[in-house]
Amino acid sequence: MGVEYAAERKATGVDDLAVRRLAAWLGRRLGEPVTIRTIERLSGGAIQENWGLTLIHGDGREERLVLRRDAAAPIPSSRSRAEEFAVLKVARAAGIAVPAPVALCTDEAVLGGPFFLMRHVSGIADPRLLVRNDSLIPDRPEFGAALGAALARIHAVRPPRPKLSFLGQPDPDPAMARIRAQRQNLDRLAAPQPAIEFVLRRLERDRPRPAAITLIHGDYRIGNIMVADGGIAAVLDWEFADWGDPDEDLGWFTARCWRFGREDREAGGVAARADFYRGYEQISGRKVASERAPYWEAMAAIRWAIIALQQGERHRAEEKPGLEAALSGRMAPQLVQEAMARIAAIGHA
Amino acid sequence: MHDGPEGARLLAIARATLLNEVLPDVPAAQVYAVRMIANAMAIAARELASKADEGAARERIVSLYRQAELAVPDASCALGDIERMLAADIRAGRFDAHEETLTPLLEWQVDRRLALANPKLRRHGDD
Repeated sequence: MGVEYAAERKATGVDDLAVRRLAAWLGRRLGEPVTIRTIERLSGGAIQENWGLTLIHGDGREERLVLRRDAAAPIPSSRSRAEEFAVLKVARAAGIAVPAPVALCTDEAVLGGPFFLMRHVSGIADPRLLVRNDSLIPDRPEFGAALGAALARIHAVRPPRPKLSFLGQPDPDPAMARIRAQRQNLDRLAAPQPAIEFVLRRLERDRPRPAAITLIHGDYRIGNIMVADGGIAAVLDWEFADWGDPDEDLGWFTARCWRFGREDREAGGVAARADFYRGYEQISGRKVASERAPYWEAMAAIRWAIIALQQGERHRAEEKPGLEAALSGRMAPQLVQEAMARIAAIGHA
Repeated sequence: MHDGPEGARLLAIARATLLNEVLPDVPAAQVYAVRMIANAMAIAARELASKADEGAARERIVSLYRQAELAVPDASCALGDIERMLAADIRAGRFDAHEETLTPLLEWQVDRRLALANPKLRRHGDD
């Protein structure tokens, strides 16, 4: 069938036979004969695997799609592919820039596990480039406002939503829910972490009452934003979406640990905090409670620290090979230091 | 046994060679990986050279419990067990009224890890 063969495909179970099964399944789903001309593993995704593929429709039309499926050893806390696909559809219907969802497959006989397809979005998502290269983002104040505006559109999705029923009843105390989940994660790690426990205890004692309960993205940061023509082409990676406190997404975006070395640009290393907040306020009609930023930025650093420790343990348990995972546990101390500095600012911002 | 130079010296010269002689000719797509390798070697070298002073770490926790007038852990326990007890007591709120004595200890613990993992980011002095 003329598929370009990549050696790595064999190791990940997407061999020629699987590609043929995929084409047959997709043809049935779309109601036309299709062929897959190329398929290749895309970068990124510690938790999900992304594959880029070129589809030839029955009429000869060519289309680029992205296939998303669980990585070999997914972190259990992330949403299933079926749920992420449903969130993507709701987000698209709400006017949020996301890749167009194409098809979901829960039949494990096709690729060994569930997966979905979405339309490919061109652009650059690499944080190191977006932080450094001004030609990719000529107007940073405008870009910062657009990032805030896009987040406000996500937060305009409010419960209840029948199509998001799998998210369950919204927890009226989302900060506490987050703390409980982090403690469960800590209990599964080999080494005790007194400093992380201290930060979580402070976050428990000082937790804010949520201004509202909304859809939250859960991982809204540079790296999950596809950028084209100096603006947002798509918001990616919805695997941590949930009902929650919208201030958490704001704090995740402005946390120091997500600035990729440009600490002076407090909105994700790409824009000023004030521009990000301005865009958010314009769309949401809600003034950003900047005094809550230290709280959620401390939470961001501590969540990231725990993820880093989990990755390190997965490497030690030989579930996750690779140098990046091996090194990630060593990132935890700097994140804990950041969180401790941030909780000291709670109530003083 | 082995003939010299010792492992730490080997690691140091291997890292210097990687950065000074290999890195300049590495294609752009591989530079990040090479820098990660160099970083891993630096961390490993610092960890091999560090002497784990478990006694001091244990003593600081025990003295924290004394100051807080909480039941003092058995100083003969392994450091990991004492840290586990500390972690559980913090979670349970037993140190809520003792943040002023607890915080410097935790900052010291984090700083000791940072000194090995990424010394450039240390905020607190050597000790």
